[in-house]
Amino acid sequence: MARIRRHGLPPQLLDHLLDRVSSRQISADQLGLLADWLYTEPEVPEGKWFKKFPAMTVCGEGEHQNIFAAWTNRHGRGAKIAWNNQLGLSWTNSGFNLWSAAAVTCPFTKNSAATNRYTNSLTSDSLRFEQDLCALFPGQPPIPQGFED
Amino acid sequence: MTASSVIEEIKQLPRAEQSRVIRFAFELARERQMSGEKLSDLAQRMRDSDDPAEAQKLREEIHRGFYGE
Repeated sequence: MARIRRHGLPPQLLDHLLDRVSSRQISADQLGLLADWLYTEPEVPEGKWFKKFPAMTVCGEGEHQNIFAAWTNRHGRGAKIAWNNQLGLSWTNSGFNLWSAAAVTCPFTKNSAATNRYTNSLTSDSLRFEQDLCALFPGQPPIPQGFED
Repeated sequence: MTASSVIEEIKQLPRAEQSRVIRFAFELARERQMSGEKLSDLAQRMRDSDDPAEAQKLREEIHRGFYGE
């Protein structure tokens, strides 16, 4: 078992969560719940793990700084964000965006040319993570209904 | 006494003593971390603020409170 702390959460991910709070995609209290949970320095498995909060799920791998966040949107229709050191994905029932960055230390930028998850060479890791998300959220298919690959 | 002089002294300590310093530093940072309730309150104020400068200040306060800096 590994132990995670608040310092294990990359500042970029904290900023990303705050951006989502600002845009009202997640409520402010989710940040507090995450902070309180991390304050307890919880033990997590060495492999992939996830922690569900009422409106957000945090996923990670061991104690490393590979912590991801996923959440349902305010309408509860399965909008999610996945995040790792290379890229993040967001999708909703009505659209799909691919975001990429060279490393977690860089600001994330939108890749407007990528119209689906198979058009960018960086997607292999995220595709694996999507498959992991499928396993974590069997009731919530990660590909939006009606989305054409 | 300055932080730099303390750090230089820590560098001279035996490894076991350095480990005690490291544990103390982690504990100190943990004590300075804000509660989730306080962080949620700040995040709510940041979201509700119409003033970009105030929102930025709140964001920075959240960062300091989250990590205990």
